[in-house]
Amino acid sequence: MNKPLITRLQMLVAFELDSLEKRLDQARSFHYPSAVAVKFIDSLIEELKQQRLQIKQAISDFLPEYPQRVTNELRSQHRLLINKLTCLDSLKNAQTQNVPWSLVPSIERIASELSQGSQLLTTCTYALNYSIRWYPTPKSPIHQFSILQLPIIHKHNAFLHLLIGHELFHPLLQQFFVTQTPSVVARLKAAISHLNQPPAKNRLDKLVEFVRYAWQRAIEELMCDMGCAILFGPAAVFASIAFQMGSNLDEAPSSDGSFYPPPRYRIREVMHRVFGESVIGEAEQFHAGLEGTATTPIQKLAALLKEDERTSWAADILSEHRETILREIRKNDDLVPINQNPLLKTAYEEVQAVLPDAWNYIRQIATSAGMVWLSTIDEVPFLLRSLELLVPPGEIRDTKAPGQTKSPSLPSIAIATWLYQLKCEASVDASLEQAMKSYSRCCRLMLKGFEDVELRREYDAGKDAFQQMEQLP
Amino acid sequence: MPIADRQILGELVDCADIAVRAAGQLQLFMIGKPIRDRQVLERVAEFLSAAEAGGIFMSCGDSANLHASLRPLNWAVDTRMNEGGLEQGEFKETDYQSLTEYLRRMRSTVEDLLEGNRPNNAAIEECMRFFDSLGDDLGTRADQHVRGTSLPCSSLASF
Repeated sequence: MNKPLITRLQMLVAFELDSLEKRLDQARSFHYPSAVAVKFIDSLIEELKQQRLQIKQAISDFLPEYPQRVTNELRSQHRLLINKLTCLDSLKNAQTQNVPWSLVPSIERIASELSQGSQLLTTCTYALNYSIRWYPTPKSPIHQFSILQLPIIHKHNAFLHLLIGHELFHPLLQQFFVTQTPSVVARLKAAISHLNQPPAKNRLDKLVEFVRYAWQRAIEELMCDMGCAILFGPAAVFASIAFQMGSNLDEAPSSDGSFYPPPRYRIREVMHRVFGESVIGEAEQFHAGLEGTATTPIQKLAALLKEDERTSWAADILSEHRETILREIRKNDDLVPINQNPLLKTAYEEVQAVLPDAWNYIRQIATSAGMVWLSTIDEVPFLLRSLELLVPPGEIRDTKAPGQTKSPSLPSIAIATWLYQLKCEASVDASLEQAMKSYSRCCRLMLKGFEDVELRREYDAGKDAFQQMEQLP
Repeated sequence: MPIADRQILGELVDCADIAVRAAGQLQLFMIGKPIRDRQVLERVAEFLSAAEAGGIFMSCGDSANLHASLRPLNWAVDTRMNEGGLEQGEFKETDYQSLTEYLRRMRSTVEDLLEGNRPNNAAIEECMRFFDSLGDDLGTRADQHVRGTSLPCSSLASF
């Protein structure tokens, strides 16, 4: 490439660098619900400085003798810049006015309890999905940040936001894959080589990677589903079903669809592994050992709710919904397309082989972080009684300290509000308009409950600090 | 049955950048200038090591060092084929073996440089050619996904 064309390319990249930096500077002046956004902006600006430096060095090192090398470096920097542009969207949609701001402190707290030192930027996206982007092996300061995206159209839909629990587990799985991959790929390669009608084998490495990726994506999603269910209990399943109902429950995993496992498959695995439910039915032939435990955790919660006549309605609703879900997951429509495709069948046989280890791995993470829904289910009946009076579920009586109140756990708030919402939905005489009003009210109650918990936490932390200061000489 | 590039776009862009910058550092060394960016050579050595682990697995079935994806190997084979170093058509175990040897040789060259040794010029040129091709291949693939496209919102009107 000759000098004038290199100058054009250089100007293009320099313009983009300036433009991005100005926009980042402007983004700093907006209001965000936490300090993470500004730290993120600072790290991005630092990255841009590094890019400028690299360009300057490439030009001084290689011009005029090696113009092609300068061209390559400039094009690469251009590509890195273009790839950073999505950060502007993320920042715009992370502003306080654009995110469910009252939820952000709770999200950051759960994230830090699961993985200390995480820097999580919560933002919204026009895509209809909850997602997280993170760097498995950070190589620069910007890689310390993870970006959590919520669908903007569901900004106020607190019931779905429990799926954030699923996303927070994604960055925590790397060690599991490091341990499992060597044996899994060996089995996958052997299985592919023994297929009766193997697909074209001119690039076996690509074929094995294709199946390995399908396996990894399935396991990732299933592990995160299980993690979310350990955090939020049955509320996670209600949220997942509510979200998945917009698509085909039996959609086959595909490259176009990012290899998501079929929703029915995901719900079945969660119900079985996390809640010990028996899912024996049409799916029996595919899954091994699907018998459940004698009294499942969901039945345990139902029994607790049944003890008090003021909350026994919730026990009935919970049992009814449990039965509905079990009926759905005992169908095997999701397994048909998987079994028909030899590569997917191979991947999913391996999914089944490692799921017990995957479940143990996830359970260990959640348990060490002290985040298991079952440990606070005794709070649910109290919160249900508050909700019946339209009082936000953000405070309960402290049974250990008479006259005092305490904050309930986030899972208890989520479960109680979901059960209350299901009761509202079951009301036969409600019109859709009334039902929507009630749904919005329940969303606000849940968000207010979460907000109250975090406010109290802040207040208690401030009070403790103040008392310590008073004791100073 | 490839994995869609758009799903791994960030990985493509990063890997292309490392390859381009590593080739630049090798060029500096060839013209007698000091290497400025050791980190990029360390990262390219990691890439070669991962691709080599994939090659060992594909040639003799040993997966002990394969802890992540086979993508570094996939990309190395693509690049080698585009360079003309490997024949198109069915790819056999022996082909993976020779590719693994090639990758090992390049990793050793990069590690020599990192340790302050001086590899011979032919070895450095070989690495430089490979990284230039890798950067070009992956960069071109990434470019196809960072551009927006003009498309009709719906084709119903044409029925």
